[in-house]
Amino acid sequence: MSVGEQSWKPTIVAFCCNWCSYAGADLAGTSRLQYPATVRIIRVPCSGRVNPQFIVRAFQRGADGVLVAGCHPGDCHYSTGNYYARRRFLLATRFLEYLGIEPGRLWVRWISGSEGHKFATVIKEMSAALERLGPNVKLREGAL
Amino acid sequence: MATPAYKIDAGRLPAVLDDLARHRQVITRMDRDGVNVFARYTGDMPSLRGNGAVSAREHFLPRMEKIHGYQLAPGEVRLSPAGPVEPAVLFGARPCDLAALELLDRVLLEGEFLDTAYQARRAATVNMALACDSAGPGCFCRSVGVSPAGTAGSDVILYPSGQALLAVATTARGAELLESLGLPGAAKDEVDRAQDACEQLVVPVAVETGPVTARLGQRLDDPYWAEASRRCLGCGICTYICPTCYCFAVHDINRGSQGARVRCWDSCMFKDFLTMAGGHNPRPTRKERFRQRFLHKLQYYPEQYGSPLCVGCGRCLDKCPAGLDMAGVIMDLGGGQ
Amino acid sequence: MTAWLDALRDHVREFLSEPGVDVFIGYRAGRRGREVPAFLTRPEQASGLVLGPAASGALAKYVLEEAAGTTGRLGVLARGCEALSLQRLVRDLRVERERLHVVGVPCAGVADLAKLEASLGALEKVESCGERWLVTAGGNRHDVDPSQFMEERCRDCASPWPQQCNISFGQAVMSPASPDYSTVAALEALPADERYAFWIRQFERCLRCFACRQVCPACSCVECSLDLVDPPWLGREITVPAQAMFHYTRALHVAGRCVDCGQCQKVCPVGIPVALLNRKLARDIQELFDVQNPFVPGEIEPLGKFRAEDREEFM
Repeated sequence: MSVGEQSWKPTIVAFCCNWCSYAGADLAGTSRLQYPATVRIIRVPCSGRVNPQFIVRAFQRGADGVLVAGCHPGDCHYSTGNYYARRRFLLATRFLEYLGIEPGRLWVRWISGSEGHKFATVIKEMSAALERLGPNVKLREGAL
Repeated sequence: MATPAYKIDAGRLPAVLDDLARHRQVITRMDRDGVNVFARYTGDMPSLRGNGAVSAREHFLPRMEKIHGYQLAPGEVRLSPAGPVEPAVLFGARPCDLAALELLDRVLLEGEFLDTAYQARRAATVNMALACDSAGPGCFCRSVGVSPAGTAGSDVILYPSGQALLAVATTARGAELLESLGLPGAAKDEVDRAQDACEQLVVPVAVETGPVTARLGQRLDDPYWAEASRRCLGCGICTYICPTCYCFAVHDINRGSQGARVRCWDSCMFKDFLTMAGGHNPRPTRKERFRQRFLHKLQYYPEQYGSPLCVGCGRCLDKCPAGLDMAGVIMDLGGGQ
Repeated sequence: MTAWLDALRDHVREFLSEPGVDVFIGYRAGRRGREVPAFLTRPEQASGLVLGPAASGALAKYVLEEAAGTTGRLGVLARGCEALSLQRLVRDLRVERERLHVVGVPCAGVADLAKLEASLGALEKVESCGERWLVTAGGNRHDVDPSQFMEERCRDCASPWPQQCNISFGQAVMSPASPDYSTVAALEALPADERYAFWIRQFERCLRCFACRQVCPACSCVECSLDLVDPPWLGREITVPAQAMFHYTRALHVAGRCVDCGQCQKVCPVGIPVALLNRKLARDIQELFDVQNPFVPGEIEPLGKFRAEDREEFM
């Protein structure tokens, strides 16, 4: 679909840690908070579980943006997993840009289990930002 | 009647390529970031130096080729065929690369089982060879029966003459193609001179495969294989740049309810190449894998078809990071200095 | 001629006579002016040792295969990058330091043999002589300015002198330089689409021969995720997204562990500037995590540790 088409909505793949961000998404739902239905959540044990390959795989399979969400620094269920993830994604974010992916396609956010509101806000903001960027075509797999 | 010869002046080359490209794709060699590769002609001047980082077999046996697509539908699987093969002209491959096609033909087009995709590409492609008036540092074509002016596998041969190319057809379809281009003729003595220069070109490396092939059958357990393969890195450079390697693996690419069956290049130098279901690997170490490649080229193929599976293009001499190349191994095994 | 070569050969001869020694990995003269990896097991072989600009500089990785299934000591000849590569393997617990006998030698730069051949003809010998190279090619001897024919990666080498050796011979020929990040910076300055086009053009040439991985001292996994058929992280398909996945994965996997030996780029048969990916990551690691020299293996690598106050520039 082209950018101009009204019907196009971005697709976000969100890797949410089981203990905080996934619970945050859950809270957003149980609190009946409204946010765009653009996100597909993949639950992972920890943001530290997110291999940078996951990001590229998501882009390959049609994601317009990828969100990695974990516990706030200091709050990791496994004490330190998100600290490692932070370093990894500091680097991976810059590296994706170096390969020519537009800045703003990969987001990393800390969302706790009590931050249902933050989860909804992040998805709203990210959807709006991706709508401005348009569909991602880079790294996307074509028809076989 | 003598075969007519035509002249393509340097300035006229783009127009000739444009002419050729009107009815078919033209595959020629381009410099991409300083690397000479075979690529589709799209209007940029080709670069016909050397023989190309990767051989021309890429056009006939692509790195990845769809066998068929599939789509799951309720109660059935729908197969879709691979796309048609486009007519093509391969412009500027060297005699070694084209001689390699004749070696591949014996494997892929003779006998009971035909490689139909390869067959279709061979049939759809007119090969315009570029004879060599200078040799690369690793060239040893003469040692394996290929000449810098050889016409095996070609439909047209181009002899460099100063800045011009002199074109002579070597097959009927080559003649037909040349005729259709409306080129000016070339004088016989100019063609003879250009052809002689190529035919007399001295190539820098010389080996003798005969004595090696004769003895290889008894050398399966020679300590040489273990010793030489120690420095093999286990990469696939030699097999992937080689004009005469043709191994592939078939894979299914699954994307949910649809996908494709493809065949991709594979390399006998890789650990996984011969690993079987259940994990058994008949060639478990680099020694066996390294030995296999050379036995295939120097023993098994000659036993079946009478010549080594090598055209002396010299790419492995230039590119093997460990200096383990075809000419070197032949020499190590007693085939020259 | 290198004055220390005889002393080196004597030393290796003695080393190979010691009990419990399996092999000494060095170079011997090959054909066409090459110097190829040599695996010496007997003292008398030591006289065949050579080391000149034609030696490729990728000895360290051989230690893995040589050490597998044996317990003896392994000697390795090491210039700066080879010594760093050995440190890498030791830090990654792929070989015990005690098993290695690292013999340091000075580096005069590694020659770009294709370039030498293109301008001087068939090579017979490449020797280093002080700050010059003596090249025998096409039947003539040439006195050559190394900077013209040196591999690109050697020109801004930060560690030409081998560190952490058991013994070393000779004196430094090249002085340490600072890594030149100007190409990285030039790429960063391009618009995203142009940068993407640049990399895709490079990746499209990739043959998936895996030479960059095979030669890399930081790529020592027993099973590589890129080889997996199930799940097919890379798979076998040759498509632009798959090629990008390959190079992205390879570079990120060695991020923080790359020693900048540049072999990945040197061995690439289709000229992909692989080291430009590594260098970008190294420079970012230096900047983001306050690492002094990202190419020298440390106790814990930058991505294997953290600080509570690490930046969060992605917010």
